[in-house]
Amino acid sequence: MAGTIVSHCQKILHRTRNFFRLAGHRLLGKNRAISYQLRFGTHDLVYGPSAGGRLRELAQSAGGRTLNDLPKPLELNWIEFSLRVLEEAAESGTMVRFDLTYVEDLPGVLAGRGIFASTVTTVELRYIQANWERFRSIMRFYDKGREVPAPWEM
Amino acid sequence: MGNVALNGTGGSIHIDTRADRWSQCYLVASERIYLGAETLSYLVSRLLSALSSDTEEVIGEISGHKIRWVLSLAEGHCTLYVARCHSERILFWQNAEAKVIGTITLSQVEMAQWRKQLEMLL
Repeated sequence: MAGTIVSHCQKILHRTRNFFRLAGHRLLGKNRAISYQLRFGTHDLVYGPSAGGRLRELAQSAGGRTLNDLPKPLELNWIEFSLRVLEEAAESGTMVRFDLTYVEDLPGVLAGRGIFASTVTTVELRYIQANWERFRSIMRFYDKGREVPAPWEM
Repeated sequence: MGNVALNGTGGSIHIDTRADRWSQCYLVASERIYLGAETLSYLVSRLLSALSSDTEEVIGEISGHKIRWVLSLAEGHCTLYVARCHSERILFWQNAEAKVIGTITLSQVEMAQWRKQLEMLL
């Protein structure tokens, strides 16, 4: 009797593992397909950590401009420049595509604590979060090539 | 690919082109300062544009010179501006806090040398 129950449980476990393995493969395949399909407008802004050139690669493959493509006014420091570009995007209705893929410690970033609390990306994300009603219509977030909700709405 | 040193009066720009064309830049003068990184194609095209015609708008003045934006870098968030002064070009590096951290002056001969070096990277 006990042997039958154990055998039955092993079968269920095996089927469950197979189900999740196959589902995972399908999900991964879907993500890959979407990442190749991402298409941004030529004038869209692409934000996120530079991640050793991966943000630039995203802008090159999907379209759009990073901050490095825009002339920085002399009198602004980098964070002021970034926030001004965000404000101008909100005013003009320019789409902002924020790649979260390489944001480290997202909960810490959103709370403004931890070792990444003072990075440019952290300041940008917290600024968008604090002014969400103004930015909601122009912001799109991405993780590993697929669109995701704003991190504070996940 | 290695390092490229673009030399001028007052300092040099060193470009480290090793890492799959994501290239790191340094300002080398009295000390070596990390400026940031970008793709090699971005660096070459933007630096060549700074040496040729005045394609960008004048966006301000430094020490009485009319300044045009040239490029900005990821990671270090330094920005390069250029001014035309007679036959020379003056390059101003600004750090992420918008403070000028270095100036490089290029003669006609040095500009020709930069063009040659940059075109070889394409």
